Amino acid sequence: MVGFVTVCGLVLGIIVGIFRPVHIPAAYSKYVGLALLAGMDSILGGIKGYLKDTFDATVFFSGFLINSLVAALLGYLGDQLGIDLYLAAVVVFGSRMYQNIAIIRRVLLKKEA
Amino acid sequence: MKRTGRARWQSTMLVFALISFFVGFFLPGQARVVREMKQTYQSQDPKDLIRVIRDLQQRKQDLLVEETDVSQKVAQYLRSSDDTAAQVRRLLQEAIVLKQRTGAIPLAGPGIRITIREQSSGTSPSMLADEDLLLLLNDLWASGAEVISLNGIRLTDSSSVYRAGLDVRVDGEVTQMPLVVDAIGDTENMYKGLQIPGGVLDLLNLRRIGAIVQKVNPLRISD
Repeated sequence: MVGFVTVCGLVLGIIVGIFRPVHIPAAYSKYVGLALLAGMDSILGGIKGYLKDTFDATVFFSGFLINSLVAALLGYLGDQLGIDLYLAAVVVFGSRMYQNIAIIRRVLLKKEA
Repeated sequence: MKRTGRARWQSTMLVFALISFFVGFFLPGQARVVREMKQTYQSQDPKDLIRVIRDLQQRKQDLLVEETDVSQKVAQYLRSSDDTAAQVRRLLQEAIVLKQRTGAIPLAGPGIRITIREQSSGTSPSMLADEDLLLLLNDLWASGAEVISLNGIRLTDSSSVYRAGLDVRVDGEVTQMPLVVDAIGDTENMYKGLQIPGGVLDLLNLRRIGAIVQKVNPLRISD
């Protein structure tokens, strides 16, 4: 059910985003991209927590906000210092997304069995 | 207890739906801006850009050498006693053409004026890309433009034109939108060239960038 709600929310958001697009200045697109990556990681983390019965809405929501904000700030800080700090966020969130997907897959397979 | 469980389940689903919606909402806007950024010079490989700049500098150098050669030939023919008036006229004409191409002399004549306006308001503002500008200028050159200026800045064979944020940079000079493109040359041919279906004007209209084309006679372009 949680997967269905997530996919529906995502699809609805994309549809609204296509027809009423938000204008993102080119200079901030990198930071928005990082924030979106962190957001997707949080969603996968939330699904994993739900399936493992460890889900907490407050933790999920605050994680989404803080992770997105920190990812964008890390990118900005890296740009100011001349270091590709955004790579740290990309690697961390990217690998966590893989891990979360793997865990979700295992939990679902166990439930099927 | 059962009621609390159901309320908790509902709030969980609501949080998931809201956050997914939020992420999904920003995805198309982000994809769009990344796609637009790929079309600008800023995102191109610096090695390619360096090669383009070097080619243009070389071309400018060649033209300057050619102009000097022709000027020398003119002076030589004028000095020599066996020259003919026709040869001198021909070479002078050649020198004038080269000076026109390098932007050394002002010009006036029939031409067309294209006024380009971006749509800066609304939820999805339209923005003129480097490619649009290059396509427009190349179309004008190809359809018989002899001299072109952008907001009064005259272009030569080695001019560089690109977007820098909201500005347009022409040979290092900064100018802003709206952009007025003046072109002197074969007016009818240029006008027809721009009106070709699927051409640059159609492309601009498709991207909601306003372009008004007017025939102007005489049109003056300074050096």
